[in-house]
Amino acid sequence: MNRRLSPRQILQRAEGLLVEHSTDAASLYVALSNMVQLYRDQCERLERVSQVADGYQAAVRDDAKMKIQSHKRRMERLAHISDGYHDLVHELNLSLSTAVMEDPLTGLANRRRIDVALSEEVSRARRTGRAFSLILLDIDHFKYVNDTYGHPTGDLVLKEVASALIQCVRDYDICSRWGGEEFLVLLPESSLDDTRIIVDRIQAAIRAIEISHGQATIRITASFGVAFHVLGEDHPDTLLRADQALMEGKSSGRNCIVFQS
Amino acid sequence: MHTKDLNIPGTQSSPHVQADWDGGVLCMSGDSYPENSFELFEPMLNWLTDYVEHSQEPLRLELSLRYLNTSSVKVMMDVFDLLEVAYKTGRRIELIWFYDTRNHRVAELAGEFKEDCSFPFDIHPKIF
Repeated sequence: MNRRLSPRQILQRAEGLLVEHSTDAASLYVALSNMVQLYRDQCERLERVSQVADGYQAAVRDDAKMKIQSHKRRMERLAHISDGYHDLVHELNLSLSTAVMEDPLTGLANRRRIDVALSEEVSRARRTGRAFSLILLDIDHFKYVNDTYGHPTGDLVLKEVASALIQCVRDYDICSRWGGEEFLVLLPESSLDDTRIIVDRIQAAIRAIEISHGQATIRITASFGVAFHVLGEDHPDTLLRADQALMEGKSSGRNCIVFQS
Repeated sequence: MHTKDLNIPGTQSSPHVQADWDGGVLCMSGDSYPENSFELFEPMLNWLTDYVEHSQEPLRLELSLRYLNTSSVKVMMDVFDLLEVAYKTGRRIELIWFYDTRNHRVAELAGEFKEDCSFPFDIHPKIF
């Protein structure tokens, strides 16, 4: 084969020989060998084309996979950071609700918190038939402490009383600052005997408080009014009896425990 | 004010956004939990894209962001991606995230964003 023929020419020549019914062996030999060569070339070419196509497809697939992975990672980062902001708000909520329920000076329950607890206790008593008791106490001559030693010392007295209360009660009792120098202790499901033990303990703990102020040592006492919840009544009724008992204690010389009459 | 400057007043639920083209500074401050964050931040994203494309000057971001809702976190991730691309092509980019010393969680979260950024990213305490 001297001359390089185009595929079209190879085909045309072979078809020409077939149309003529040629029996010329030499011409047929050339045409056939050209056809064989053409066939081989075409096969090789097809192979190369499919290899390129496969490679291209794989590249596209890898690219898509990478994109999906990068999106996935981004979504995860987004969710993670967003969770962090949710936690932040949640923590803020918790500290706000503590602030709303707590007396900032003493850390005891504030009036709002004890009001909620009192309502809950009334419902619980109604449900279980086991009533609660209340101890209302007032620091004797607190105004004198404030006027003589100053308000910071007065605050210190309040804090000392608060920690004495906490130490004297059971885990489920609630101590609250009711107002100024008045404290209210809620004793769920408590009998007269239980209550008596606790109020005696509190009285002793308060009498034991000693606060140094310069050369002076400040000692304090308190007056106590104790009342028992009567099933069926609302908590202001119980509170009123505790208050009346406390008033009685105050007017009969202070530094005493008065149980509701 | 430059026509290309930006001043979007903040609300309770959206941050104050301020951009100064000549100074090359973008500031954001406040909480961000708007209903329409993608709409709200579009002018800011456009400003950033414009600035990165049409100016050769350095860019500085000053953020005093507190709370971000999820879509705002997404917007900030987009902003940082944009900065990252610009930084990798040689632009001078810097970012400072101020946080209230009383709220360290904000600093921790700024740190989470920082993990994906290679440009200078400072987290600074500040008394607000």
